[in-house]
Amino acid sequence: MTLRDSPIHSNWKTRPHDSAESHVQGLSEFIDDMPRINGEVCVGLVLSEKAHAKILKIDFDAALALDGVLGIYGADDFAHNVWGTIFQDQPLLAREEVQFFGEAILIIAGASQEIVRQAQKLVRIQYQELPPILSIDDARRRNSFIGDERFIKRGDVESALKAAPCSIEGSITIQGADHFYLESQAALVYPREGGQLEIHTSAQHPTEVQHVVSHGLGLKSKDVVAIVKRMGGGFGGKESQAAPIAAYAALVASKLQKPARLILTKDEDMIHTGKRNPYKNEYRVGFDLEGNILALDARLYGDGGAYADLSTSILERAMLHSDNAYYIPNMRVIGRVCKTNVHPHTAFRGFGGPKGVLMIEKIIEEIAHQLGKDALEIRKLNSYRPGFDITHYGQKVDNNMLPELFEKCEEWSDYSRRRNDISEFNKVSLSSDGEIIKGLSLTAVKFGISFTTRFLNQGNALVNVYRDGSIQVSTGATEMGQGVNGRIAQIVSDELGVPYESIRVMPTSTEKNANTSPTAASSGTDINGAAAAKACQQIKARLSKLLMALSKKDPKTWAVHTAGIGTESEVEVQEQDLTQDLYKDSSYEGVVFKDGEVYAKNNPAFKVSFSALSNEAYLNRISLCEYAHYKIPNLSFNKLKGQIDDSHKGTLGGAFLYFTQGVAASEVSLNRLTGEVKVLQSDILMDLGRPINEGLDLGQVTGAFVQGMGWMTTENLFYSKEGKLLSHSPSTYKIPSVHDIPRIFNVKLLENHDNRVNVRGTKAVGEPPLLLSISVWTAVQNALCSLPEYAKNYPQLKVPATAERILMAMNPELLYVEDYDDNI
Amino acid sequence: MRSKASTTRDFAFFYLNGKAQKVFGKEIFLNLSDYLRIQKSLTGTKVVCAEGDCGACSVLRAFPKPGQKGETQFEAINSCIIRVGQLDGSSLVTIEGLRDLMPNKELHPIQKSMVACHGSQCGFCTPGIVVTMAAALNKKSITTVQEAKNSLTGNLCRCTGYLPIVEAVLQSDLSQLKKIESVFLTPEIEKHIRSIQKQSVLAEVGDLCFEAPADIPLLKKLRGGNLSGVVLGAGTDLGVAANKGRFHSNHFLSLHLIPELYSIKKDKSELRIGARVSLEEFRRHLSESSQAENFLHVFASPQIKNIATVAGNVANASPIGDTPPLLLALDAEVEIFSPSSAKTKWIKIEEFYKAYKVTALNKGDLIWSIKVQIPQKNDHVHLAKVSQRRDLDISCVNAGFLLRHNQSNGDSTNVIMPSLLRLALGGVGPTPLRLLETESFLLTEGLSKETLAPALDLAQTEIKPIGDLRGSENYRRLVVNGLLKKFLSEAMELQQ
Repeated sequence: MTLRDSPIHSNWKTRPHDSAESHVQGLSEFIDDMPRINGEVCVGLVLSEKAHAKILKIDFDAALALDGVLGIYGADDFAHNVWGTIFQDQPLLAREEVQFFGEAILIIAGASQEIVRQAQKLVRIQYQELPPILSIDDARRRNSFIGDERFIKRGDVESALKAAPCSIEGSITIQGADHFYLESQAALVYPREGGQLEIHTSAQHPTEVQHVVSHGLGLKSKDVVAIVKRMGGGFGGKESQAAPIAAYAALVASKLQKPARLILTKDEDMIHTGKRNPYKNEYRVGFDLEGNILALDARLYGDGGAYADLSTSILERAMLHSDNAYYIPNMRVIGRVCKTNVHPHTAFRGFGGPKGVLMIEKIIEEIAHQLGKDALEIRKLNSYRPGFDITHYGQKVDNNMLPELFEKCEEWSDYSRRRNDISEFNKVSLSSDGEIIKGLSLTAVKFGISFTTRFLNQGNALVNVYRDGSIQVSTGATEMGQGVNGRIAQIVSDELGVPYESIRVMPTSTEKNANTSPTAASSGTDINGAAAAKACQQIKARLSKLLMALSKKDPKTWAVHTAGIGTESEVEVQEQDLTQDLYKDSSYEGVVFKDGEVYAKNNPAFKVSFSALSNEAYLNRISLCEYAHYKIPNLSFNKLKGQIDDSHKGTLGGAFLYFTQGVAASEVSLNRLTGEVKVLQSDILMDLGRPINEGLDLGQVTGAFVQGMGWMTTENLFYSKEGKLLSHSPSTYKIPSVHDIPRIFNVKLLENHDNRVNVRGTKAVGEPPLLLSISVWTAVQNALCSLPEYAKNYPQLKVPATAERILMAMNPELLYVEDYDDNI
Repeated sequence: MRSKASTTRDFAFFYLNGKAQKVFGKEIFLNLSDYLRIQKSLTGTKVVCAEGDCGACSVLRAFPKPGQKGETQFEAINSCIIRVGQLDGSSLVTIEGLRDLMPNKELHPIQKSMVACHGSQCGFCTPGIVVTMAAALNKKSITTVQEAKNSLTGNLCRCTGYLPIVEAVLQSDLSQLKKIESVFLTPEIEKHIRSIQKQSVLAEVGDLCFEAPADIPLLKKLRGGNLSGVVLGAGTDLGVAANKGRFHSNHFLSLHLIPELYSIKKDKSELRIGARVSLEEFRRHLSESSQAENFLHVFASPQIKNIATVAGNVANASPIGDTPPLLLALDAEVEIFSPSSAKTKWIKIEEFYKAYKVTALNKGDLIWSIKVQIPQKNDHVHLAKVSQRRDLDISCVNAGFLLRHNQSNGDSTNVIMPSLLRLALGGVGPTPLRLLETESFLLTEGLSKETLAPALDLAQTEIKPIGDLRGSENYRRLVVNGLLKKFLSEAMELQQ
């Protein structure tokens, strides 16, 4: 099947991204595209050149004396030099000690970029180096941790392990990855009268920007407005870490009372900001001869970097996803975040999920290898299924599509035939000293949708209908390319029965939507779309009542004709509490909103246009605007107990509102001369419930999968022995290029209308497909298994499986030390 | 001949979206991307990496070559690593200019299909992709997935997984599209550009100096005068170094106005290219007569290949430069112009590389031209580049191998006696190098199943790779072993 024949393509042609037309013309405005105004100041940072050191002396006299330098600021210039999303543990600027290479120490304000660059070079900082902790092993040896140990337990793991006929003990090492959003961290701050600040930021979490800036500068939230028009990619990297960037620019704007713009270069961004947390997981698994998993004992160690950031939440999600798609009767997961001297690691698409899922998917392959069975057989055997559908933390896997997904993808991808072909191909290749060997693997994802931090599962929306019937919608959701604006507009369009074009989703701003959650955890549409739908329902209820009242009045007496002279009495509309089912569009008083018209179902002849009705509502002093708040129901996970509340067991929800599921089969070839990997084919099948916009969803699937593939294969973060990131630009850090995508790349969605717990029956899509790229890594391992060296022992590649690691794994007799010097 | 004051100007000149621009003073030294975004408020062009690796900054450029006839086409280039002065004599089109290519200022076909196919998510890479594809589709329609992918190798996207972009390329309806040249390089524009190209540039502001002599006598005069200017080829490497704070110069000498340096001469056995000939032109001419094409596809992005010169790649002397192994395998010679003698001399490429980043060029010397021996029909040639990622990556190891079968060798034996053998490698020592001992061993002992293993062992003694972030020492050794084994084994198979 070629790309063009792929059956998905008719489905791609859904409504384009709401900014598509301006994107393709270069008219979409990003922070650095905003016009420069007179007196604007350029902001730059001075970053630590040591991973761990005492700061003995900072000398910036020469820099300050440079013509065009307007100010240089340090830790003491902040009112409160501290921030942190979960723990308040990170200084905005390092004062006495640096904890990682690239930590910000000073802020320089200059008249131009060039002047700031010159000034940066003139700053002299004397350090007294301290021994850095640069690995998870090192941190464990030295008892360097962030937060407490966490656990989730079910059953009697020790006894089950002892009793199990077979067992494996092993580990998996997972490196981090850079987000590589194309637009680097950026902020532009305008000082406004009375000490207010207007912040334009490239952030997934404007409320966090507002908090960090106001706290750092000693202001109140009311003094700071954070606005996000769009981001040039986020992927989790702008969830927490956009906030200090905005604070640096805000400090300059506040001190100098001039607009201040801070745009990190790609190199600065990669050196300074945190990555996906590296993990090292250890496990013992017991199973029977058929391949049924009987017990799993796992220890997860995440590298949090120098400060807490979101790492403890990331760990939670890793622990909650260590089962992935598989029922494991006896299970114990213990997790800990290590504190090291690298950039504080942070959210990245999938959060902790992939770190748990990688481990269990590797375990499955290992069990299959040991038993001489096909791994897919083991997967199907252990899959969550009726009667075996309670997770290790006590939640029932509701609306579970896994058995169907496995079965359909196996058939659709022609798995068994290709498995045989590959075995045959490898036999021939090995006997003839051939260059290529191949591997195939089918992995799954079951991704829990909801923030694991309960209070984040709320959102609000403001819907303003104007007298002409056009509509502005504002929510806490931020647009980073994923299409959340388009989905929300679609929900509003469907709910109010008006053309999509009559709706504009406005920039996200903390003055319209307060106390919002980050656009993260794949929840943007779920939470904010639901809030917008609720707001529309209130407006719709009022307009429905108005319509019914109007139907009884002579049109000549309507307010549009009479309000000016005030001859008629007003229509009064009573507010009411609505019980909303967000699964489908609402309806009140038997009134239909459709195609821009409003009418009673039993009197379709009497139609009023939505715009005329809106105007009539205004003239009758009936509110056309609504603010609504939405919270995800049914959440009850006790983090300390590692279980959902007993009262919730067996009912809907628990740790998550629902699960997004999918499977992918990937076939790879490995070059035995060079270790190079080619992904020959990937077939992805997902359950996304009832997509609001299938084209946008499919774009999330292909994008997340390829992003994950990069992490699985070519994206290698190199640190020097001193803890400096050496691969800090695309010349050394290799995200996938167009030729790296699967040669044959198919995506299909399952039809599923039964996810009634979520708005419109949709399922979240942002993160889950990234975890399907794990199939590429397991396929590489599967290919290696065909070599005589791995007839018995399962190969132990790190993530990513780079060409070098693969070639060295093919030549295990050679001593292999991964050791790099700073000589680029 | 002495240069005449009247033929010197103090500005750079180009067309930008169809309007003539004279650029004076400091702006000449700006990166084109900064000039466009800040001076001209054309913010559709984005900057991400500032090192020519992501394509977000792509703009279109047509450069009628001084003294050369023939059609000039628009090509995508990276605006983040090129200075305004280097665009002198060009016609440029940015994303903002594309609207003039369709009737009624409609969206360009690639813009329409990018919208329809969800080819854009966050939008940051999008203008660069649109511009790059506008150039590719201006040359020919693209009908296969492979062609579409090849045209996109210089652009990174982090959102879409590329599939929707590939689809958008394939779905572009070009029926109403005007040729870019018909709007932005009309005969009038070209005539205007060519008339100004005849004038040399000497722009000085403060301690900054940009000069571009328009003829050889003036160039010789300048170099004889022992000026300290840094010679700019395409500047694709210096531009990166400058952006990253590793390089600074106040004085640039650009050779872009000298007609002789664009010459390409080819006969059956030899291809000779002037110092200003781009990698893309070199690739085109070489591929017409050899197997070099495949190698040159993975050699830099289209944006870089369109502008970077072979001479620049040679002079850069990086041990992992893309062309040297190829040039070594093709027995290249480099013509060097020395200002002291005001003459040129030829030097073998092996003798050109002295040590890490040290060449046979003395201060003030220029590479004038390069010639290579075109592989003969029965030559066994293999070119390889191994890197972390297949495309748009700097090599970890690269190789250029050539073996000529001795025609008189007969078929009576299992031993091949090559008449010519060149085994060249990059990334395994301080300079690109040839495996002279291995070559000599095989030329003497012949290539057979018996000599293969000792030859591979000998090769390992000739290389001295270091480990860095592109690959460890052991990895490089294994790769060399694999590539060489494959080449020699195939040569044996072909003979039998």
